[in-house]
Amino acid sequence: MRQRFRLGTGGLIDRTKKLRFCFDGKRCEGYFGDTLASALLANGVNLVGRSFKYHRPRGVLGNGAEEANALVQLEIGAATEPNLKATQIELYDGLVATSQNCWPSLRCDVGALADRFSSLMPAGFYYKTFLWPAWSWFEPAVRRAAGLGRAPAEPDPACYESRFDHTDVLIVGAGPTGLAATEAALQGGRSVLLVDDRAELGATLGDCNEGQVRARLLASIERARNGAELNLLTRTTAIALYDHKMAALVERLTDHHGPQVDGPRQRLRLVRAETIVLATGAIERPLLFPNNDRPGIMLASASLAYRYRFAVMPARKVVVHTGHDSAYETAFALASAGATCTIVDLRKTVTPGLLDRARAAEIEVVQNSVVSDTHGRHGLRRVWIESLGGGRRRRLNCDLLAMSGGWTPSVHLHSQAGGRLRYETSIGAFIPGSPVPSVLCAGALRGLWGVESCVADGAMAGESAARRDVERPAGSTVAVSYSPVGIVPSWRGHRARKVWVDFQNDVTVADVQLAASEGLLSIEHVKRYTTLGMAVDQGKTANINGTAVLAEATHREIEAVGTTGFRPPYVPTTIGTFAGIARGDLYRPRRLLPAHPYHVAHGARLSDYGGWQRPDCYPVGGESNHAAARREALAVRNEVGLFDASPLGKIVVAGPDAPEFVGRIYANSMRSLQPGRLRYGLMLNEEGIIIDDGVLTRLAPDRYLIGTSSGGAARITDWLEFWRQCEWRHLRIVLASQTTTWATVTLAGPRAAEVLAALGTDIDLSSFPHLSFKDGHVTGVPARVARVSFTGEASYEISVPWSLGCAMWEHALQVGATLGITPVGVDAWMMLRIEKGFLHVGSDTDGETTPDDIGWGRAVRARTDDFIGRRSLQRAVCLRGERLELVGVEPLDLDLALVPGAHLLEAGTSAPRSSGFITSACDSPSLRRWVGLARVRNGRSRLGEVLRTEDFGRSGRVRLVEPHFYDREGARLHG
Amino acid sequence: MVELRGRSAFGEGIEDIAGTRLAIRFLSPIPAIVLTARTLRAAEFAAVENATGVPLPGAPNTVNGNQRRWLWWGPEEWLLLDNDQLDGVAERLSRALGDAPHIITPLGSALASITLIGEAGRDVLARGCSLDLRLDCFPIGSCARTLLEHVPVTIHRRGPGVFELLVDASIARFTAGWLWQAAREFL
Repeated sequence: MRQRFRLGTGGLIDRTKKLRFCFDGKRCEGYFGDTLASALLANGVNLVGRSFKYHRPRGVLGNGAEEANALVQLEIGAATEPNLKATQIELYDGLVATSQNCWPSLRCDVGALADRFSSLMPAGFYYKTFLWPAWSWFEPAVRRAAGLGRAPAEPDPACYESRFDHTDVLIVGAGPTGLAATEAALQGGRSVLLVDDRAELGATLGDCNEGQVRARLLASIERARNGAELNLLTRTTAIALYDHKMAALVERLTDHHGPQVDGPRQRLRLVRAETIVLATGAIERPLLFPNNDRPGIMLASASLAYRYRFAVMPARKVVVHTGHDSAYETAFALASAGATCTIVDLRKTVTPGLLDRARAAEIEVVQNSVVSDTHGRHGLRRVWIESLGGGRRRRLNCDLLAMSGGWTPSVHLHSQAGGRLRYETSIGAFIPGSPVPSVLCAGALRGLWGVESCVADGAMAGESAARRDVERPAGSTVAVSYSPVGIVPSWRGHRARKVWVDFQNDVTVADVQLAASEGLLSIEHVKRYTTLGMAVDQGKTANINGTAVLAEATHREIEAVGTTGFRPPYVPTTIGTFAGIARGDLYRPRRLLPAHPYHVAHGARLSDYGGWQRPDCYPVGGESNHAAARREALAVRNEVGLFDASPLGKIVVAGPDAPEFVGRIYANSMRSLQPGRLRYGLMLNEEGIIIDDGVLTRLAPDRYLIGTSSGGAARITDWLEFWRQCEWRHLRIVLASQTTTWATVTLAGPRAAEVLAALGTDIDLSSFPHLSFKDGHVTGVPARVARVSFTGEASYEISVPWSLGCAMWEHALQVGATLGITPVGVDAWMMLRIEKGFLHVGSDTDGETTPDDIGWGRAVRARTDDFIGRRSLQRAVCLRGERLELVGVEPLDLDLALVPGAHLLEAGTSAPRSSGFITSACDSPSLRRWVGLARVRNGRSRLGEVLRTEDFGRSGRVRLVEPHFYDREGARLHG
Repeated sequence: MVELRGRSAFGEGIEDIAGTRLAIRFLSPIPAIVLTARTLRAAEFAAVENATGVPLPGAPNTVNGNQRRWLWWGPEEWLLLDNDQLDGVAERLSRALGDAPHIITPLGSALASITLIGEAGRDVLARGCSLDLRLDCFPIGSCARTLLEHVPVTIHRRGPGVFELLVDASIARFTAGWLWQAAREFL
């Protein structure tokens, strides 16, 4: 397709570099420097997409992030990306784009029938179907119709990265304001990071033919640079501004070359700056009139940019409809390129100089008038205008309507950072009100208009930043040197159903009025009800007009209606950018056991336990995971098992007050614990709730080793440090975490001692009672051996230096081979402890469990000294009974599997009142039946009773029993 | 009797890399001792220096020494490192501190060390660490316990372009893999 609408000369494009691209299967051409939108317009493609709800034909509205209509699906296959704004896609050779939300084709779209029935789908249609007639009728259709483009089905082939940055001054926006601020900050000797979302600095100046100003500003930055650090990031959007002056930037590294490029596609930068200058500019406001959404109706500033930057003139006859001086420049520019222009101005009076210039350019100016309708199915054909004072309608033929309702400052980042907004009636816009410390607003963002006033304001802001001011000096108020109109309720008296407020979400004036009449007064509610300001553009062009319509409908001032909250990100950001390189193996940190190489090499099934990769089981010869766990559990009961217990937390506490410290952190008494011995203990928080359990070892009179659960190591270390550093400064103790100093392999089973002896040790195994430890050597390396058991079998925990853990593991398996040693995973370990009724904190306890609930009430009540949580155990809720108490459960029905989480109901009643629930259960390989632990209301006094389990429709009878199923006397433990 | 052989915490396939803008060296285990002690007096500071040959840094986030070095590791907590050996040092330290409440924890093989050498070092760390590591904010001889891509690490600046990272042995392999990915373009 030839570029019929490209001017013969001019523009900031490189005509020597011709680029081919494809839109909806049509081959087109453009130039280097084009956006997809400008190239489409140059090729005469005005119809670009279909609207969200009514499938109205839509064209290009803007020329940047504000675009609401021209959304396309870019590329195909895995690299495809939906809902991209054609105005932001830089053209590259071979680009493939397709229109969205239409079938079978863009020009002939079946969905456009929706427009005929738009009165049947008013605002809140979606919510109303909840009430009547039946949501289920509409849901499938609504879901199918919703959404615009299609998300890719394949994994994203691109790669991304992220990084942190630090700078003295971060300047967001490289328009005239940002460039002037940069120069001033550099002159003050500060390091500057300047970011802009366009491909070049000062791009907006190029859009409006102010290339000389741009060159002048860039030259002065070059001069000011002298020594000071300056980092320039183009194609970079500041998507968020958080507390403590942290900004998030998205840098598009290769998007402008297309998808098949090496290296990261985008980079997320998290920047901390001492001072931030916001020079984010302003976005032009559309005007509200019937059928204001047709292809060919465009923002005046966008028309100007297409004319000057891209040398594209999509029209011969132009109507410029405005309430602001700025659109006159558009009219002059288009007229100079040969178009016939008419200006329809909402205002009664216009700045005189402008009228003279219009006359000179042979442009008719119609004042105090409004466009009252437009016509043209797939492109604009004609408009009707009428006087606001009441007069006859007049028809104007045209193929482009450039509109300007004034300018809306881009206050998003200021608002995200916590800044309040203030409505400035004279310009009809919200501008930054209360300042945010060290976040300085400048230029058009403050409601200023005109290149020179922005340059001056930017320079002042830059000087403030150089002085490290926390706010702009007072006295610099908005100087309005022109006569803007504010927001004229030009929609009054028209068919409000056809006046679009939000082009992207198909929200009309009638929708907002309906929401108001249904009692929705808050702009936040109206947003949710009507979808005003939602989706890809988040109402960059729509919100302010929507606020004005709501204000009028509810007889309030615009300031009283306010704005919706501005939340990050400023523009849609692909999720890969946030992930960065944290994909696949790098998705999150994984801690590896010392014997990890063995576990992997021997086919262990690994799972994540509190950040550790631990073996669930070691299946052999094609057996199932469950069969492997049963085999491993039986090996522990009958011979000997080897378990990798390395992640168990190990914290040393030492000092003269160490006995006092351990006394306070455990709920049960540790006073009588002698050096050389171990004792099981419960830790509570201040509310008296069990937070961890473990074994305490008394290494010496003034030295203990606190053992924590594997998942609790880091958490309990921090918890203990909190008490030591903040609450009990007077206790003469020190703490040291030694979790990964020692690797721990556990031998458990009747033949555990034999394996230990065979490993070769200088430790005397003959007088080595349960719950004691000895230091010595095992296989010639320094080791601590402790007799402690989680399985009910005689066990030896052998701790050796971490780097020797794998060698010790492999050696033990080799030596124990003739004794029937079996590596045991977590699944079997859990079966064994359930058989014994040993508690697992987190499975059998939750955020309400006290020691009494698990049968430790007497041990805790016996204490006369203080410990963490003691006072809370006196709360009424702990004393009045009706507590969920730990008991055992066994099924009475054959083939009834016990499922953790299943509720226990009163047998014989149909009342669905739960008496408790199963917390752990297993099909015990040793006992050959299901056994489980449960927490039941008043459970201990109900032993022997029969309850009914209920698990998603499967029910059966269970009996409450003591929570010990295997070797209740503990004979094996001491064996 | 069999002799048990220690393993590198980095596991198989992780070797020193020398690129044009960055070299990475891996060391596991690195001999290390942690000293935790309550409010030491001047005499005890001197005794520690006598026992180890390097004075304890008093200021937070600083390091004394080079081959053998003390890192300030937290309130009342110091880390002693030596790339070669720390044989007998724990016993000497223990004697030096006498009755002052303290714990001397020879870390054995609990720590692994990764050294980044080259101009790109700061860029690589910036991909996972939020600290300001510019030379004026984090001068030579600074150390910090922080997070590198969710991994708890200690960063010690040993030169303008030399950063040593100390990571827990259990997470050393993950960290090495992350660094390799983050540093790809400089290698």
